[in-house]
Amino acid sequence: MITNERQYKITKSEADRFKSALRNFREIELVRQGIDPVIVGAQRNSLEQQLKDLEAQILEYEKLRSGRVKRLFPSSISDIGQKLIEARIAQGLSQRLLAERLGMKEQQIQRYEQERYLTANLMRVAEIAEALQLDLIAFFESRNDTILNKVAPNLRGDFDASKLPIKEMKKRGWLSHIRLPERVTGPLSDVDLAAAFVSQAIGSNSMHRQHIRAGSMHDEYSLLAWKARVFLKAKLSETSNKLPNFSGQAVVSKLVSLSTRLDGPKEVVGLLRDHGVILVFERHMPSTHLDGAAMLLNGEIPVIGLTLRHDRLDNFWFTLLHELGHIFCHRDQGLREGFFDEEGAPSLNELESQADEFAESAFIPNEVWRKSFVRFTTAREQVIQFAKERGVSSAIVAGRIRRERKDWTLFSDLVDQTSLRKLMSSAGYWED
Amino acid sequence: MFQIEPFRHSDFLAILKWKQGERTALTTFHPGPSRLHVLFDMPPAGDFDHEKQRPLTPTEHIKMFGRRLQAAWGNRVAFVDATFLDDERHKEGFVQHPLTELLERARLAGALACPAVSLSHSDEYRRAVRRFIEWNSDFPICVRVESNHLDAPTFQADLKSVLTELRCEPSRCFLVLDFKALTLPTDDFLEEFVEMLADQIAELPFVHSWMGLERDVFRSIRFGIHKSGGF
Repeated sequence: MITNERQYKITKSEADRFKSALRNFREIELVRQGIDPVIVGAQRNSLEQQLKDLEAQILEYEKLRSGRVKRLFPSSISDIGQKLIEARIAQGLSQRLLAERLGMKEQQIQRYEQERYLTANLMRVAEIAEALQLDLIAFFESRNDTILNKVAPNLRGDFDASKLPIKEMKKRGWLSHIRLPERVTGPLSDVDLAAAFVSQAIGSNSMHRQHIRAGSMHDEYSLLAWKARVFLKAKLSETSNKLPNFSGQAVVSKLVSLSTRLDGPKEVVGLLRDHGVILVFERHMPSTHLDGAAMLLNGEIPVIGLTLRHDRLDNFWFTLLHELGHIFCHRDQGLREGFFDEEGAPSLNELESQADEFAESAFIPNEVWRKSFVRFTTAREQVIQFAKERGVSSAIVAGRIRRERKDWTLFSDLVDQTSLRKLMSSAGYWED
Repeated sequence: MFQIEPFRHSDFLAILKWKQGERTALTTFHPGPSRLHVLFDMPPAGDFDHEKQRPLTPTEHIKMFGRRLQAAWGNRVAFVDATFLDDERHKEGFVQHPLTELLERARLAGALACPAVSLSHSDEYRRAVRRFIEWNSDFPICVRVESNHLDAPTFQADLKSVLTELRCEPSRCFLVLDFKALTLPTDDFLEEFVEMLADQIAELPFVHSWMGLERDVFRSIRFGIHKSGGF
């Protein structure tokens, strides 16, 4: 959200940069240079979506600044800070002017707003509201004050915490270090702890809106627990250093080049981070058969979660690029809710087919692949030579042949060149 | 007199390892309507030799080639690919390149070995092939193209460049499209492969000039796929 003129100007200039990039985006030229049309299309799509995001923020700020907003409705107590910021903007007050009205330093207001007033005490909040000449009309409604409601207030409706994979969550140590609200005292059951874990990580139980591609049975509650864990890891990564906005332009070719190195997967985390994407690893939960997922953290930061369910290089690269395909192509079409994928499961909808096509063509353009005799070979050295000439990992070529022929016995030594789990564990990204 | 006959669509090219079993099989071969041509892949020295009852040294491996070829295949043309002899170990003790040694020793024994060259052979190997072409204007050579060569975006230019470098006319060359090991698990795969191959052949440089690619080429292709994976 834009909270001041400086951010407004930066966002405007950022939007101009995207507009200019779109104007200068030469699709035909890129295709002529040998980049697959699917990748080129995805790059354009990504630029357009990011521009749309920025324009929405600008519009929201301008709408507030014009003073057209008269009433603000916080949906919860924690939302009050956000509404105070909106009210200030709507009144055309800068952070400096508000600070002057209160006899405070501008930096203090900046800090409060950055934290959405969550660290300000109630007295301070009242002062701010007064300075903004706001009347508060509010009421509380009592609800069943169960422990579950206290620890996981945002998990409502038909959510049944007892269906969470509590035994597995406990085994993995997820329930050991949960920060509970102060008002919650006394010993808690494992069900309550599991609910608190999910609640704190995810915010809401939007299971029904997830995009799931699975060939076998999957358990929604296990999937939700896994998602919560990935989000928690992503949050830790996010707070350790400010992430740049997602910029996907150069990332694909860098990933392709990394694929030729056996230790390439270790470098991927940093590379994606530099381009605004958080990549985390978490073992899949029993009865999920999950390989990877793409989601948005806090509705804005792209996160990829990989399970390394198959400890194979080809699976790693394909799943990674598949999820990146969702980030490129489907920011407005479900990324907020998340895509959860089982590699090899039939692609039942267009979004999954698009992500598959993105992943395949990122490494070897489809046009090239269709005309390549390596597709029919069983000779290992032919695969290695082909991969070398195309500048990609031989595991990727071998994996593509295996998928196309549906023969998982082929080129096993090429796809199993290294243990990814060991590699990622040595880099501190994987817990056994 | 050496026997050199043009390639016909019903002919068959056997790509064989230079091993005693294969050579013995050749001696029992009876020519039929589909004639057989052979291309020997020379392994490096060091394998157990059943005749000598011990592994041969590199020098023995090369020196015994001529006599053994004559015994197995007489004076018919046999192509030889000496990729695995193109190193320092096999060059030791010879003034010429091991490929040249093989070809000359075959001639001395009354056999006719002609070189096989691919787009991946070393410069030195290619120079040996070029010497053969210069000294033997009547004899063919074999240009061996593998699937990774066909898949290279520069394939056509690479092929032309090899012929220019060797100063060899396509009419002196048997062009062998060697797919090594193929899998065509379903009819769809087979159909797609044949279509791709037909397209590739249609775009081949000098398509009507090769010694070993005659007009009725498609029957050769089908023959090759079903019987051997090469043709």
